[in-house]
Amino acid sequence: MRIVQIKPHYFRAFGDSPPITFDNSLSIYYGANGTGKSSLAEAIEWLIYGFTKRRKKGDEYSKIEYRGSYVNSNCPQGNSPFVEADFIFGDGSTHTLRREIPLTPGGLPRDNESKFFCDGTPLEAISSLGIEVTEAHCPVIVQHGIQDFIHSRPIERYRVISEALGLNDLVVFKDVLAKAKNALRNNPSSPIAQARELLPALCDQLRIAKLDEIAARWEVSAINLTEDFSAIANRARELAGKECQDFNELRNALGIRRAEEIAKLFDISPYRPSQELGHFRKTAIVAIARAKEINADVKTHSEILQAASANAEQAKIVDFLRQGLSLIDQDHPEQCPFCENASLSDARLAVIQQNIKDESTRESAKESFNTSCEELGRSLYDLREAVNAMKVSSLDDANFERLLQLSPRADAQLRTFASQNKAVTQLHDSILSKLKSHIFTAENIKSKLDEPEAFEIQLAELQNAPSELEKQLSEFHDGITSYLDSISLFQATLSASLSNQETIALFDALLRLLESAAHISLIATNSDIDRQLLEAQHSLEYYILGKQNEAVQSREADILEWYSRLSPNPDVRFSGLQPGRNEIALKAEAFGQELNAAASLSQSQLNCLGLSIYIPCVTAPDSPFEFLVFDDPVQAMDDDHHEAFIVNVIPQLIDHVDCQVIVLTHIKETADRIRDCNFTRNYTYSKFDRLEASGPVISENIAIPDDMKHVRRLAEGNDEIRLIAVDRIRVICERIMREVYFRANGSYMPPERNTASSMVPLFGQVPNVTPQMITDIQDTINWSNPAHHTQPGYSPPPSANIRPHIERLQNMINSLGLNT
Amino acid sequence: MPESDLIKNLIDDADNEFLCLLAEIYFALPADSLEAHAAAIANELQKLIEDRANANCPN
Repeated sequence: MRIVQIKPHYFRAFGDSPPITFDNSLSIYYGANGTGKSSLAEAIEWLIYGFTKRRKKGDEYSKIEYRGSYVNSNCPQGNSPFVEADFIFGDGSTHTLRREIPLTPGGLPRDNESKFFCDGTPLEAISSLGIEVTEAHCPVIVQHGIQDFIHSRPIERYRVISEALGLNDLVVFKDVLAKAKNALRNNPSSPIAQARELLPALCDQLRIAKLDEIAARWEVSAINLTEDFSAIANRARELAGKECQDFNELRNALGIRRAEEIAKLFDISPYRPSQELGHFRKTAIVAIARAKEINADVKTHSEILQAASANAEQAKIVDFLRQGLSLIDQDHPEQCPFCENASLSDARLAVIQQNIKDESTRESAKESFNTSCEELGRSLYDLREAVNAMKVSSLDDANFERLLQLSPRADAQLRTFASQNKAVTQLHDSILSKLKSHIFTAENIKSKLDEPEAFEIQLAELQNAPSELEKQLSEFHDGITSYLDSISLFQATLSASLSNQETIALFDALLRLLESAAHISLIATNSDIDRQLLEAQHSLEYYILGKQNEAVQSREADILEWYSRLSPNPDVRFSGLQPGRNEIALKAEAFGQELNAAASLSQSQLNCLGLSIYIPCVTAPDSPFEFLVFDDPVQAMDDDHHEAFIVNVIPQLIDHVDCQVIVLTHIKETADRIRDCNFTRNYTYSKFDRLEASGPVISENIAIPDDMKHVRRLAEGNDEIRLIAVDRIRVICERIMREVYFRANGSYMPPERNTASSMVPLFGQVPNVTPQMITDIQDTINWSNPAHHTQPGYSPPPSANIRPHIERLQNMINSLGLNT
Repeated sequence: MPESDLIKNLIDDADNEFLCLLAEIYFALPADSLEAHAAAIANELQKLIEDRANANCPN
């Protein structure tokens, strides 16, 4: 891919700027810092990758600080910033690639995202065109990237070189794993943190259980989950005295055995009711409600009975009459069977029959009354059973003293428990006594039917019983509730006191260890994952090392070759890369001795080394790019390396690698020198004049007349500036001679003619060059010879002495037609 | 980052099974910075620890 032209639109320093066109071979741009050169380089990088390395690195420091930095601050709301460029692909076809920043619903650019298009068709990425683009092939080489390479620790250089070798994603993954491991170690999840907090106490339990070897290992988190818990379970089984299917069963068995052991010391179970309080409450409520219901029936039947009992005599007569009626002669129904007179009139007979019927009703009511009383008795009996189940033993003085001895520190709790025990047992006895009496009355009231006074008293007792009982049971319920609280409190203290007993402590230790299985499993698994993570990290390091070796082997020769072009000193030089697990050693040779390059090479040499690593990555056969952008590539270079970059590297790229070169520099001399050295090639030479709100102002095709304007200004400056003017005059001499030679011959001056004096003979052979011109230019070359600058007592010529040389050159330019 | 062929190749080539698992987790995670990825992987590993701890818990 070669780049033809680009149009950044509100991207970085650019506004609604016109397109920038590139030469197919060489495009040179110079301009002061801050005029937008790097924005051009970044526009190309962002268009291809969707991000820039500078932003990516910045985001690592502070996402907030770099947020929105792709977007020009003057971008109008609702306007999507974009970069669009025309490329000639490897098959000769031309395509327009475009990447734009999407807008939020409010019309603001969202510059952490982008949309990519080829010839107007949306695509996911450039790879959708079948072009494999990797970061290693990035065709934009920026000075800050090279600076990172020079001024970095070995681990950082490892990253930079890995990135250059195309292994950045693996190195990032390695960094991610390292950070993830630290996060796991330093910020464990709360279950793991809790489990770790428990560990020292569990080690103590292991020692109580005589499992000291396991305790020693657990103290250093060396847990063998299966074996350790097998040992703990075996110990627990021995103590429980039975085989168990699982830990639950084992814990239950241990719990029972522990309770037995506690009971041997003091059995507190008789002081607790055998029935649940809730169950008792439910049963009591049901029984009381039933009793009340039955009582209503008892009352109804008793009223009938009471009315009937008043005529108890009549009942005997009715019985007598019933017998008489059965003896009546049906042929003589008026004949009374007892007095044998015809005294049974129809009216009399009707009265007798009514009396018999009434008696029958009374009998029936009596039967119902008896049944209801029996039922009431049964209901009260059930209630008594429920109350019985709530019976607790009374704490006598002897047992009180015994408990005080076993748990001396629970004196107050024991006294509360004892006092409530007394209250509850007394109330319990009272309720039972009442119930016993009521049950007896319910069972025997029927015998009092013939004794109205006694019947009345007993009936009243039964009628009041449910309400009285309800009240007492409510008191009992409240009392037993607080009693249960007090016994629980005391029992916990007692249990803690008894836990100090060796046997109980052993049970408790094993119970806690069995209960801790989930926690210990968590710690063991955490350690296991930590170990596996460490092994995975090592494995990844070796994997990367292998990939680095492959990459270095395939590229080292190229890197050394580019380095030799850039660094002409053969005595002290970079000699190769040596990948390691966490660093890539840079080897150097100084006078035949192998050295560490980072420590031995100059900054300038390291700068060259950086370029030597990047250039072959971009120009590798698998790279899709046939262009290279250098953004201020020679900042840290001394004159020799600077010259070597211009003379050896750029021509090599253009002529032998067939690579389109775009150079951005803030040093005019560098730009000029590149232009002069590539005089024989196609190039464009442009200047970033200034940065305005609407974007960089770029002037195209700076030519000899511009140089003349520049040097006229320099000639009027101070000593230092005038010295530069003298140098520039010499450079203009070279440019005039090259340009004249090219125009006359249609070919470029041979490369070996690379000094002004060496060009003069060829310049003199051009037909329209006069002898006076040859003399003049030779004189000006001699006058501007930099060798004079180092002579003792040399001082820059005054402006008045410079001007004649400028005028001489201006006349020559005019005469030779070079002023357009 | 995770779309890289390098990570895909690592998943295919690496001998260490746990490394492959980590690479798969990394590959599948949506995150836009090294820190976010590290936090997400640590979170996934914590889940893995809890799941394995439950599965391996002696009972």
